[in-house]
Amino acid sequence: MGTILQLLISGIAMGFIYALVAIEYTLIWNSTGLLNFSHDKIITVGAYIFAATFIVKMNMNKPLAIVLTFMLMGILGAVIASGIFNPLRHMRSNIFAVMGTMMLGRILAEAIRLIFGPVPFTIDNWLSGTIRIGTLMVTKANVIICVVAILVVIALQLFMNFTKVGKAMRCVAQNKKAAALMGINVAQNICITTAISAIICSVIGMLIIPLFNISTTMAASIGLKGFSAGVIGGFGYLPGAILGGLFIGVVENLAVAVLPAVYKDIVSFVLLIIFLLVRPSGFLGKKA
Amino acid sequence: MKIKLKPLHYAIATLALAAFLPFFITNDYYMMLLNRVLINIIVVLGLNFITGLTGQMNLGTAGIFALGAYSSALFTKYTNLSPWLGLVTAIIMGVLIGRGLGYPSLRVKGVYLSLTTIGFGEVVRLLIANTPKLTGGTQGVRNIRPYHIGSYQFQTQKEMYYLFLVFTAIAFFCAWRIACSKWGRIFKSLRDNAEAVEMSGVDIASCKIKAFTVASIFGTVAGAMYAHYMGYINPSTFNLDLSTNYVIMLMVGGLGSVTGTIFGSAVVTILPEMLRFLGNYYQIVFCSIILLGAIFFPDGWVSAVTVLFKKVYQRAAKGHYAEGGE
Amino acid sequence: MLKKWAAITLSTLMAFSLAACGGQPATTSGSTAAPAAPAGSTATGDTSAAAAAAATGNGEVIKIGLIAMMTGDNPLNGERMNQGVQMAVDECNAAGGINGSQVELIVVDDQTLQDVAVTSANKLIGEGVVGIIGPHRSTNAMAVEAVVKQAGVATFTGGTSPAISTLGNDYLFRCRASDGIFAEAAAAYAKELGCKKVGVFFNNDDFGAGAETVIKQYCVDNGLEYTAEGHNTGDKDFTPQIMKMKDAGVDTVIIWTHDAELAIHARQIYELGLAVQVVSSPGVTMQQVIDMCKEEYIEGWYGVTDYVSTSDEPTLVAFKESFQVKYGIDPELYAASYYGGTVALLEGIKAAGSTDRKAVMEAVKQVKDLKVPIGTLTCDENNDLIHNINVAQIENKVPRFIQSVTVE
Repeated sequence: MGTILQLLISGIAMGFIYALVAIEYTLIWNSTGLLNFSHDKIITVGAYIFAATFIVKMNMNKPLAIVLTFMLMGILGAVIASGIFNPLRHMRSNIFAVMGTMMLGRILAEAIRLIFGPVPFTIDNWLSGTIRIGTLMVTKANVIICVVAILVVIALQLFMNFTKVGKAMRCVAQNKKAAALMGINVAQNICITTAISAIICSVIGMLIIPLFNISTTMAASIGLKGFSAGVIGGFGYLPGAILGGLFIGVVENLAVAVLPAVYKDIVSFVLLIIFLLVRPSGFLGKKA
Repeated sequence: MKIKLKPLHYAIATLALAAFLPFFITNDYYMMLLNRVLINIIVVLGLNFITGLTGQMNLGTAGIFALGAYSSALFTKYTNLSPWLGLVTAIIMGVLIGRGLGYPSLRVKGVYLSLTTIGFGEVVRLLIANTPKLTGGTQGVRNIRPYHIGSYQFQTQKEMYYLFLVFTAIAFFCAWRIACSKWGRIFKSLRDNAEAVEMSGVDIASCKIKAFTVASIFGTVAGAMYAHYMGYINPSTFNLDLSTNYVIMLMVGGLGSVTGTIFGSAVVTILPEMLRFLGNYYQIVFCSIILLGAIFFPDGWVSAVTVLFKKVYQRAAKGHYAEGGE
Repeated sequence: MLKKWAAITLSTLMAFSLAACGGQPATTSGSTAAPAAPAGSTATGDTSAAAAAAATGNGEVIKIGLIAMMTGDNPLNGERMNQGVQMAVDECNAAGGINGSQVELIVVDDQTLQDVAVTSANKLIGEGVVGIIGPHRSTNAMAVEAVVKQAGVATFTGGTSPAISTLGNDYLFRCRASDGIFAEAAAAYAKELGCKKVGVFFNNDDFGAGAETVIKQYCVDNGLEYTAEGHNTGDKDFTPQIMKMKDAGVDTVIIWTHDAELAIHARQIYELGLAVQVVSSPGVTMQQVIDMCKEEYIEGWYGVTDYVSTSDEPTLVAFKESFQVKYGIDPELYAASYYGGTVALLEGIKAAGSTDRKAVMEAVKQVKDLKVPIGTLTCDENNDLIHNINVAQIENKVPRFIQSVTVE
């Protein structure tokens, strides 16, 4: 019984990470109709900039480092939007944008290796430690991720519903032509959306450092599973991302309680395929 | 007197050029690259039917390739029969996959299909890696016998090259005939406007499945060739990066262009090797070139060159008229 | 029509540029092998023999090749391989080279991919190398073994898969101990520690799966209770596996996986309260893994490894000091093992007295009691060069040398 509970808790903890990943790529999907296949590398870049440059090299205090990382990642997001998303979304087929983001991902990975070196590392005293309740254990980092994920969703909902820029983003997501006719600068809007998405990526990057350590492949698996989370929860619907993430996290863990543990990855992909075939709008999404 | 050059003449000329190429290459390293290019051409010819012509995204090509390689390798390993029968097994596997992938592609479109195919590719790889009793698991399959006719074995790179050249010529001819036929035209119209095709009374479902089946057969045949060529396969080769590479080859050659596949495969296979002199930077330079190509030359690099020629020709013509003043 | 014409022309240009490049390596080594070789089987033999023969003699440069994984998911290890091998070459050249000729090292990146490893091997062979160091991964070594056998080039891999000893390839040498030795030594040490029920966490790739088979066999042969849980490279959460082990009531754990997964295992084993003794694969003794773990995670862990930095064996200490002087960092097992492999190759070339590839291979087969940082090299009938490993224990984040284990 204790094992099942622990698996549930760990599953929920991982689930919130998947949820955050689903949120950041759903933002871009909503506004551009494109999937950002380089998001896991952007997460890694965020982690590296935070840890390697600010903490290790410049020895800054952490709050300042966080703010600076957000700024830099926001700029990176805007650059990616103007360089890749805006030119490529007008193509007659989505394949160009998809390949563009994949190439971007590879370039980012190589850039990280060339700039920061290939040695994996970690930073001390950053969100470390655990909380114990009886025989059950959850790491502080996981708790913080859970709280941050919920805060991010609330903040985004408020932003999208009550600010001018946010409302403009929703218009662009629904119908770009109409939005443009209404005087919304679609290209600029996409830049802002991507910048926000990149900042969320950097948040994810910073939060998973104590769990996964910093290396070039730290975010590879959560990237693809994040896609599954978004689809299952409700493609394009932000609160659905949390539901989808939790669902995958828990099912994964419980499944390998009965199956051999090596099939863990297969579980999330099979779930993805089943949902795409049977119910592409996920649990909470609206039917297209 | 102008000779009307028919496509057949181009084909014969290219084939002749290709046949004489090995005489100028003394290095096995380059022969090996050419053999790789030939295998990749066949895969991309297949991929062209799904992504190029009918416009559906397929990021699971590595899965198809893997299934072709493993079905042929395991068949020849367990039955000790000729690799040619392994090739037949691969073709049968291709038909099965085509049906298997074709039906989901009816329900799932666009970006969802790309996710489904990624999922397919990953599941194939993980299943192969985790069933060691059947597939050898992560240790792979060794001692895969090369093709042979009677007692003559195709062992060296040059021998393989000629064999593969025959395969590729056949594949290219088939692909070209299909693309130019009624089916090819239907495929192209599916990409541009699926509803219009449906309204014309064509059964889209069976068309899409046909497209997937043809593509899968090409993929599995190439996979079988790969297995008997390398002599050793293991599942870590058949990952998302490989699928991505095939789509890049298609893009570089131009979506929908059958002749472009030759160029695309050649570039993506050979260019990284040629860039090795850049030392630590060759990967990032290659990826940047491809990215810039995707942004600026989405119709393929060949189209970029033809556009350039046209511009130069037009400018020359303009200059001529300006001077002549007529 | 223009498009088709352009496509075909461009493809032909590309292929011809290959041919133009292809012409060069054969000619720079001074051979007169005619380019219009008959389209048959002996072309390979001609090129390599001619190139190798032309490179013999004093004053000429002796080329050796290194296939290192500079990109991919383990770039650090590739870089260390490069540093170790380069140091061996530089030391040899500083001492006057081999029979008066300087040694040149050509490095090729195999991206940790099988296909690229085979291409890299072919590239090096085409450039006329006398021997090849690498590739590292067992799967890549198995992919290139047919190529190096056909070309007849001595190749030194550090891949630990037991399957490599069964290949029967005269030209493939192994410069690290096989997992048959590593994994068995780990299991034997667990038994020595008094273990009755062993739990194995293994990575489901060739590295971990191969070791798991060996450990399982040992446990069956020696009456130890056995259970195993696998995972894949890239997994980030091992709670299910660790909880299953806890429920199974194991008293010793053996871990066999790569650096990133090892570090996460260490943290989660500690956090989830699986408080048993641990014997680990070499990764835990490496500085980058130790740095990623808090002291309490790995305190008291045992590790079986090639290279223990705190050993006081003279060859190892000398190597460590030279490496620190040259690169400003401490060496580790990749640098040390491949340094040893390079030394073996260079000794082979010296003993052969020529750069004939077959003679070099024969000479390396005669290597006996050659002292290198990771132990003593003696070539056995399976072309395995090394037969001893070291056991270390982590104390205060430092791997303390405990004993050396030799398997005949």
